[in-house]
Amino acid sequence: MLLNIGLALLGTAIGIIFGAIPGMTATMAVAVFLPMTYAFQLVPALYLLLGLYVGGISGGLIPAILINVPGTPSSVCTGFDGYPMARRGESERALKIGITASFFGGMISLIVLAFLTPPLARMAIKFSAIEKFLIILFAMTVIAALSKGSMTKGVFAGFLGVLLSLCGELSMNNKMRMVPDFLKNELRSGFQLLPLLIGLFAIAQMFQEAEKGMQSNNLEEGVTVEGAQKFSFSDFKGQWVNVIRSSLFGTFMGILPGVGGSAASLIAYSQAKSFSKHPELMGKGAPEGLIASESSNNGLTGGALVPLLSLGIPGDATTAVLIGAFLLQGIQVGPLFIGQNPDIWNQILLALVVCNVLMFVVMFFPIKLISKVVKVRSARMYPVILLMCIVGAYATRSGVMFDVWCLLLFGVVGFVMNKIGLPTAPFLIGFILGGDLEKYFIEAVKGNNYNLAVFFQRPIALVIWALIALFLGYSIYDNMKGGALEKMGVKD
Amino acid sequence: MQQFLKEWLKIRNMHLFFPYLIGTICAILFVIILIQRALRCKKEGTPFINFKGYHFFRENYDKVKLWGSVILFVLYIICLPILHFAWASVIFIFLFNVLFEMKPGKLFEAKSVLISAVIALVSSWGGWYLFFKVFNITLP
Repeated sequence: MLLNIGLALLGTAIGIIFGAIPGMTATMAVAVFLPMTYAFQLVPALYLLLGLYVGGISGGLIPAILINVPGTPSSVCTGFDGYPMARRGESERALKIGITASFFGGMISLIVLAFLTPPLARMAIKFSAIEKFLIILFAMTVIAALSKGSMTKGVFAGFLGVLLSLCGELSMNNKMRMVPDFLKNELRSGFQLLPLLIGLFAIAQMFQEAEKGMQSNNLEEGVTVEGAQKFSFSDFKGQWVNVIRSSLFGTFMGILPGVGGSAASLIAYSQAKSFSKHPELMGKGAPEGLIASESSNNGLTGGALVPLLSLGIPGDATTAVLIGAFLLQGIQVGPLFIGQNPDIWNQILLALVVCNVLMFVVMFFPIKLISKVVKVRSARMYPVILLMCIVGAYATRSGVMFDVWCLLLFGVVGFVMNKIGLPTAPFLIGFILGGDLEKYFIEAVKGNNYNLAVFFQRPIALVIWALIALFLGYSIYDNMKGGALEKMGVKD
Repeated sequence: MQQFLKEWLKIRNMHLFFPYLIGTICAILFVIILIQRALRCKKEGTPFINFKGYHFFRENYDKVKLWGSVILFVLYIICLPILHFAWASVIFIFLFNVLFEMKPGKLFEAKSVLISAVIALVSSWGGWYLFFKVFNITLP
């Protein structure tokens, strides 16, 4: 247990550093540290990775409040009120309000995770290949429907991910497809998940920062952690409804695959504004805006684990990376996961409690020290991150250099996708789910005498179709409106 | 349709069905994206293909750092099997540090180069010890 807590503390602290440095994200932190989990059993590995996840999401509030630059996309609304508070000499108060709201957000989402996942998994156990195929299709529709900017590009990226996942040998008939002859040995089992996700989320980001010239963030340009008005828990007086509402918004946005923290933060913020007694003060340093943003983005952490642990579908890019940790340990997440691994399930819940408490302790008390993290030069961190990425890619199959070349390849692919506006999260989730999509389709069709009507005959299937239609309808409406989220400035 | 699926999902063809299906969907989606762009351009009165003023890279991007990092990455991968992990990493982590810390007009600042060397030595040998000796992970 001591090792677990030590790893959670290490993960949380490093996650906060990644979150606090603009350009580095929680997803990147989890992806880069995934290779370290080779050395551990699944439970200690999960303490480390969940610590990175919780710390990474929370750390983003520091630069958002101090220099008005969100450390992670999920802190996009934190600076709206946090920075004006800091400008008027309340930076310590703003930071501590944000940290406390993050803690409550994380804990509320954990309660939802604990109560919602087991019944959802029990229901999903009854699913046949037909429903499993449709659930994946539904997940991909939601990812695409809520893709920022363009629904069609989101769907396209998702299907490109599926197409890429099909490279290699099909186990049902042991025949190769979509692989040139000279790469038959390297690509027999297809592209590996780890080089792909590290490339997309770490190497691509390094290239983007290199393009910008590795500019550093200067704390002196903003404000320092000083101020006459100190934090008090009475700052939360009259804000509990806001905390619970925003945390639940974040949690349920997390449950929808591919939505992302910035959308959760924006929706919770706009709801807080519409329920506020003084909406005119929002955006001018009102603590309720800060509370809404931070409790919602940490609410996302538990929410995104719900579809992962009950259906095997990642809720966001970071939980897609967590799938890699389970796969490395040979454990399949999905409806049977909780029933077959009750100890691991309990440990996941305990790990989230520990990580949230550690996040609060590590950030709240030494806040002046932690705030200096924004001064860390990303130019000094990227070379070390690169070294860890190479270790991770090379060790994926215990020493295949081709996987390191794939790391570079997917770094370039991620960079180009960002340039042309193709979202990388649907691409990654499509890649992860592509194999299952094919397997369940073939099983469903072959098991029902090649009749496609089978997808429309069972009641659960009809409900899933209705949900798919609902999300498609919403996305078409949203696209016609010109992308409400995009108008609000969501970039993920 | 039943006969069509039966033929395609025979054991000998099964591996090709989904790639063709998903490839077709991707092609259709690509055409839809092009049509959407054409309609938007028509509405806004802008040309469908307009290279004038188009920048793939951001304006005034740092060419040295971007292309330098790509070239160093390629050389790093090539050198890994030749020099092995620790020595190749010392050299390339140092070079990456120098490249990323490079400022216009002040190419080599003694203090910065010294910090780069320390980071390269500590992270490379520290990484080798941690991953290879402690965690028993295969390294190049």
